[in-house]
Amino acid sequence: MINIVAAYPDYLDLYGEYSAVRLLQKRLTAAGQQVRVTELGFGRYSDLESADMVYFGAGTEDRILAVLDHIRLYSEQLKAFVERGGLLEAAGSSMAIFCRAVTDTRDGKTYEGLGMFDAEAVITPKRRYGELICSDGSGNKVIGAVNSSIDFKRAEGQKEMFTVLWDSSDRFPKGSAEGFRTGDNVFASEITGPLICRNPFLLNRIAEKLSGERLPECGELWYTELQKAYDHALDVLLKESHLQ
Amino acid sequence: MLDILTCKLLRAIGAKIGRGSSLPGKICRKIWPGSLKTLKLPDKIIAVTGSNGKTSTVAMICEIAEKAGLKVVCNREGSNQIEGITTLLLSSADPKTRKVDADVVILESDERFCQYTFKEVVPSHMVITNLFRDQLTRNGHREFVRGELRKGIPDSTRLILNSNEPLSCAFGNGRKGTLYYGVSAPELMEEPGIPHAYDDGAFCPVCGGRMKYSYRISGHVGSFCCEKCGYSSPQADHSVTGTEDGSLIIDGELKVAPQILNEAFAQNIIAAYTAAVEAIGIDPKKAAELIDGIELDNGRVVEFDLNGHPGRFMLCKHENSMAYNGAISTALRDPADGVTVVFIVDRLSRKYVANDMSWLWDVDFNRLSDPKVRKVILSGGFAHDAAARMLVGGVQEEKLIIEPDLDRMMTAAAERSEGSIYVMTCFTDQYKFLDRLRKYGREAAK
Repeated sequence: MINIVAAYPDYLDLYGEYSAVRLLQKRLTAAGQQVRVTELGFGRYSDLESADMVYFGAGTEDRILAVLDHIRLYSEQLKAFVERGGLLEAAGSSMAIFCRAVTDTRDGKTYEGLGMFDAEAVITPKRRYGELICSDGSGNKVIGAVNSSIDFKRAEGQKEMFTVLWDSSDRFPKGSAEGFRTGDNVFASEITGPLICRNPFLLNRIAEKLSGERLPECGELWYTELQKAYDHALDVLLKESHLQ
Repeated sequence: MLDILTCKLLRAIGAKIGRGSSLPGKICRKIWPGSLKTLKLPDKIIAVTGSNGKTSTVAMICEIAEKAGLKVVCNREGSNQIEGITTLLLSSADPKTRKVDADVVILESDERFCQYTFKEVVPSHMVITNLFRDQLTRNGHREFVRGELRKGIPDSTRLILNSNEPLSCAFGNGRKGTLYYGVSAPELMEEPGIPHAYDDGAFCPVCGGRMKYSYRISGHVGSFCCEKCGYSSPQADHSVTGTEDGSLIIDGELKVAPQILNEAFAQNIIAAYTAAVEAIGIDPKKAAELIDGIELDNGRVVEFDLNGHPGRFMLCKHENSMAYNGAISTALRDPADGVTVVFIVDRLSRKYVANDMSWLWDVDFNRLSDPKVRKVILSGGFAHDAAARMLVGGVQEEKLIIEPDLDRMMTAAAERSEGSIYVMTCFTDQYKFLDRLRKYGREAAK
């Protein structure tokens, strides 16, 4: 049984992020795995000791701060979960929760983060939207969008998830680092889409990591359509970026 | 004087090349930046803003006011940012007196541009229809839009708010004289337990506590109450209290027949009625008579026949789940035994780089698994994204016809549809269907 914890799914619910856990469940089930999804959130407790993965989606800036305040109740359990190799993934703005500090320029306050990444998050009044093509370092192109008002200041040595090849908003210069990773089990990316829905190879990669084995090809129609959607979107973005 | 004359001239020229609504105002603002403030405007200036329904609400208020014999100036062309409103007002003013020749000015405004427009033109009343997830690639999220809109509400303006929409309704907290409208008709309430993709009514916009609903009209629109701070739907000054023979009942006594009997039309009609009665001062009975049977000629709903199938084209907005949810609800209420839904998503924006499809996951496409829906035809460049989303949502494989090619979509709609056809798409993609529909009709007639 694979246990996935959806963290604050009805609170950090922007940009279709709830679907990431659903797709993982579907992909794993299609490969014959048994999956249980539970929720952690306000008034909802999940046992992190038996969890294999904890997933945080994107939320508004105020909600990120509210979650940061609440998740401290579980910070020791989360640290223990990560230390024993549990897979933690944060998408979009929730990446801020795991930085060393979060500064809100709207009121000048700074909050202590969970410190899993050597970086600082800065909430600004300015929103930016950009569509990205990135490299995952294994020859795959990652696509998606960054829709955020949070800037991230990465310390030297903090590892990235992806390398940016193109950003429609010019926020990320070509070759710059996107996202954070610590070890091979704590991942975060600002990119939404949702990230693992837009990029089926990432869905597969995480599903294989959770199952601990190479999964057979998924022949179900939803997955085939997801692949076709990726091919089309990549084609559109490559044309817009003039990378092709 | 020169600013007004220049604007009138530029508007006349611009109208011939299709750029007459905002460009003249843009040019005039550069040359005479303060001219809007010096116009003599009527006392009654009604602004209408919000994510959904503002164009229809504005059209209905205009219709009532004009039929009541009032002279109306309104940005019906839809240019709802400050440049468009500058064009409208300067070109409606007398060059000598600077007086705008109208009994009432009705202005549709983009939510994020109120802070600029209403620094220069102060509305007597402002209708805020709702704050929904809308164009998130441009707007970020609802809380961000709320913050931007808040900057655009002048202190002296009397608000007219939707008592059923928690986020925008909170603008009335502590604000004297605020008017509220709502829908409490049991026939328009959602069946309890409809699984929505997300719930923007789960948490209180005032304190963050959990909210409870005694009923819902659509999604998070309904009668709400926060368990923690007690923030709740205020008593509505005017409401749709029921339906009878296809008509809405307003305030328990006045009958008004809508173009389509659904929750979106009900909210727009009661918003327009409240503005007409409370802001313009039209007698309630007369306002109801004037709005009765109103059919908006704005292309948002087009009835058609395709190969013997009755069809309804419903203009929605990509990146706006509530618009699509409303159209899906309407299709599911069709009296026919079965319906076919055609969904076209080919291009998100004519202005921006926007290929984000995350909004598809916010639409209640899972409801298309209802046995009443016999076929779902998906078309446009992003048809595969839509297909994946629907399949994950539980729509049955055998229902789906995936035809990214638009011509083949048209053939599929004509030849493989079952029951009534509902076509849903955005203004960016509407003619990809409507042009083909006309062509198909011409060829069928040969």
